[in-house]
Amino acid sequence: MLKFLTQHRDVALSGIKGFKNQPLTPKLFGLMAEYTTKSKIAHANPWRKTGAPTAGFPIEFLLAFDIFPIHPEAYACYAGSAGVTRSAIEQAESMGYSRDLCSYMKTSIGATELGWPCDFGGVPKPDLYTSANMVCDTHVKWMENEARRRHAPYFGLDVPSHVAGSGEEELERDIDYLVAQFSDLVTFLEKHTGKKFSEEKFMRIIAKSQEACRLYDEILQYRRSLPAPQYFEYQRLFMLPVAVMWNLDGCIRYYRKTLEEIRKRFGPISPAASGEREKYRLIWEGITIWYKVDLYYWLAERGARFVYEQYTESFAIRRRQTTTFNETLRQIARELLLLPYTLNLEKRIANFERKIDEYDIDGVVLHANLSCRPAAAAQQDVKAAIQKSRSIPVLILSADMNDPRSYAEGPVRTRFESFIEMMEARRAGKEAAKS
Amino acid sequence: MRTIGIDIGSTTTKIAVLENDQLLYTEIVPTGYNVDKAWRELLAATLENLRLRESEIDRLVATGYGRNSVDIADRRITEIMCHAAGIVYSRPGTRSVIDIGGQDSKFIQLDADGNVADFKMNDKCAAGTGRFLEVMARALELNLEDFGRLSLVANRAVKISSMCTVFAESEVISLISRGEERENIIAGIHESIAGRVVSMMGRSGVKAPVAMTGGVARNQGIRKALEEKLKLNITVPETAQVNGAVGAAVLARKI
Amino acid sequence: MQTFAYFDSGHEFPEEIVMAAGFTPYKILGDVEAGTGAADEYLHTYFCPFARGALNQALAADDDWAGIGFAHGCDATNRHYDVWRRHLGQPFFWVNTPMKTNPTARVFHRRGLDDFRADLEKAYGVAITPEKLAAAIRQSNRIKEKMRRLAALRATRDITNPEYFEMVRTAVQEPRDRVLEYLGELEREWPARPAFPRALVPVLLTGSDVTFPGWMEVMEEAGLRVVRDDLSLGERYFHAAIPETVEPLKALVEYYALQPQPATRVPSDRRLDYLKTALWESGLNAVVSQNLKFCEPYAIDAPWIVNELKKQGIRIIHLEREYTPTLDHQALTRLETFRQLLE
Repeated sequence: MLKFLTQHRDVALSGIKGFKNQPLTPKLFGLMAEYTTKSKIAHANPWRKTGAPTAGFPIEFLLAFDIFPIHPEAYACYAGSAGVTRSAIEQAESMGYSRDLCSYMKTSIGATELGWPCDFGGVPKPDLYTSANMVCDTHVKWMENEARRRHAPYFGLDVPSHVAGSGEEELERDIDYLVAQFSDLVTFLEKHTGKKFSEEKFMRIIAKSQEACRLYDEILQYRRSLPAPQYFEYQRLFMLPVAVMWNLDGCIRYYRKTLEEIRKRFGPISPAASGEREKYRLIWEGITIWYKVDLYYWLAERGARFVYEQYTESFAIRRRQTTTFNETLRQIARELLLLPYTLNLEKRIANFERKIDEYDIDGVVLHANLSCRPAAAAQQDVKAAIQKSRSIPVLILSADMNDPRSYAEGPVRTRFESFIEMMEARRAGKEAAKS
Repeated sequence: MRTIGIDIGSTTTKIAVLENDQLLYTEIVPTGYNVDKAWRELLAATLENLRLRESEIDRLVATGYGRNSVDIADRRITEIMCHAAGIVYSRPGTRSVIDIGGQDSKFIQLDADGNVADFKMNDKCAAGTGRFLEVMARALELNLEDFGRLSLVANRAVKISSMCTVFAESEVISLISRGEERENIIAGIHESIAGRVVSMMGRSGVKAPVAMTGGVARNQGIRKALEEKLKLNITVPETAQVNGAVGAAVLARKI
Repeated sequence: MQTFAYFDSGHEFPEEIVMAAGFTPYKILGDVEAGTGAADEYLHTYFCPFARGALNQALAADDDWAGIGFAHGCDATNRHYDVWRRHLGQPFFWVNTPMKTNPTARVFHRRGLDDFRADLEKAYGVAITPEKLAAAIRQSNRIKEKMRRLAALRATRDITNPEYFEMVRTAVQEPRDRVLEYLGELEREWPARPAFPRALVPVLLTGSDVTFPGWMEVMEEAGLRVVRDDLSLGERYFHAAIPETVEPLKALVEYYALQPQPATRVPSDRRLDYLKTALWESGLNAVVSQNLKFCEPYAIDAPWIVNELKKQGIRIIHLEREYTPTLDHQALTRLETFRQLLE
């Protein structure tokens, strides 16, 4: 780290400025620092195995083998929040990775190549790589490619697509397939750690991750309150402990304490809560724009706040309690197939409609993320469906989660200003109709 | 032996006449919409200025994106080979050539004997090309010469984050309205283009000495920004803008 | 015979089940001349232009197709299925081809094929018997075998890149009886062609699937002749034969593991192995690697493939190409320079 601070002073200084600009409590900042510090310690410890999963991969399998989760995407998000991704991305592009490829991947490869620490996107070499394909091809290709480049073994989990029109029967078939693959995964992990899998230990870990997810989910549910206790710009960092699971006990303690504080302030979850409702309550679909927390502040000044995101909810999937080993495996498989972030179009629209009602939503922003084509598929249909059934404004916003070169301040603000005007006009219309 | 090279680019058409080893004549005219007319008139004017007849030209090589319209050419050779040959003529020993033209930017690696070892070209996007500069210069109401010169007196480079030409233009306009110094904006634009070009090149393949050719080579600001990113000196031959045509005339002697 | 259309990012869709149901399988390739206009209403313009072209064609061909099938391939097939289904009136079918070919994946693959057969039987009131499946497999194999023999002539005879493309296009789109006749004609005509032209340089073509002849023309214009490839509209389609001695659906599962592998599948080493073997067999030392703009799996593979082949002393160029019917001048310049460097 010291070497980095001296050799890449500009990156470090602008990064520190970027981190300071985040809406962090001292506790959350401490947790973020704890994760990268522990990553470095785990990497330096010759007796500790480390493994690199992608977002949504069932990390509990790694934990059951005492494998520390080195999370390349989480580090890429750190770099994004720090606002230092540009030179890392350019580095990856100079290595031959196309301009059109995922900016998480390029941040990660570039930062690693430049020797940056994980706080700035670099990935300490893990002992093995694992990923799944439900979110994108890139998850599979990226981790396999890194495993090859860094001479480590790779395991890819094949998650079938639960497309529109398919039902329980197909779901059960696909669950069988995933459960069989879990067994292959265990064999892979046994081979590369030299340890035996323990069902008991796995179940203890699952019980914890389920508890962490339930607590986290309840906090998310509180955002139905008027006003909500947390907004997206905070939530996107707040989800780190459950998204990465490097310390499930700490994660549970942290969320439990947060939940207690919220309960004290808000009482039971209810839309008719304590104070003044936000002027505009919004849903954000897609990954956040990591390097532009200022956009969320700018919107907040105009009364527009994000209170629900499929993206953050997707890290609370393990919330249903299970008791037997087999039931647990089938439940994990089901959760992978029905991740809020990757729902098929029918279920995605239904989910939007439900959340719009539950969270008392005034408008929806769909992030047409240049780095995540699969997540941006069918947005036109989603927009048309919501506008038809709920008559609220929907904005498709073109940007990129980690590449500031694809973000244009002027046009983005103009779009949001018009979007706010539309919500305002709708409200005025509703009020006029009432009186 | 008397040879001619004609380089038809998206913005300008260039001609070079070589007699034995001596560069006799060069000229640049805008290409315009009629490619055929551009090179025919340029060739006629050149022959007239040199008081030569077409039959007194031994060979003619055409290059550039309009090369295939030159029906009288003895051969058509890509601009990459021609830029390489041109630089070997004017700056022997060069190992890396950066050529930034109107719609393309190219990076050519030469081996110790002056042969092309490898090359890269930009993806199809105006970022990192002369066109990007033109649009930005227009937004700042400057001609290209002043644009390059002014950035040298900048005290810092403002970060231009957008790479899309249209978005970058609106970003530049909002920087102007924020009262940002013009020279600092220009320096930022240069940095952004240099970043794009360097990513395309891939740092590992760049060997010194490095030369720069193409119309954009006249812009000292870009050169400086590239030098800083590469941590290498870049030379610009006087014939930078006609380098492709010179190379074509050189190659014409060898066919 | 009615046409059953399918959208497939590799060679994963089980055509033989559709043939056994009495349909002509038709691989949707889009129409580069018609562009992507209608599809752009539903798909962002920064998505794979081939996928947009395919939807564009489907929106125009609505009534001509008895049904539409998708195979689980790349992000485009996986995520665009719902969009197609929402805007088109035909019956839709989803075949969940697995990402791997290991024993676990094979069990799943088999179940998916069983389900697909049952879905077709139910939707069209037909019986897809083992006999019909076996007959379809035999017909496919005859086609593939002829294509293999014809494709081998590329190295010795004057067979242009667009002609080779046309052979494969016909095989995946036309009624299969007619395909056999057409290939028979080529078998009479191609061996009598003049020898491989000296002015051209033979290369192996790899990367994203080339789905329109324009790109093949650019290569021809640049003086590069494709004599080997690993494309779905190419060797991937005919390299292997479907086993005829095992039960038909099991044979289709086995066949899947025998094909040259696309970039969407892991482990990727199988893709590189095929390229190395093809280069070794044919004595070629030049490769054109390309990816269609926004085609991520091939773009991610590119630096690796390029470096690995360079290590073997192979001359290789990688470029990104557009989806356009007009001559791509920049690509032509790059390819011509590449050829000049090879000379």
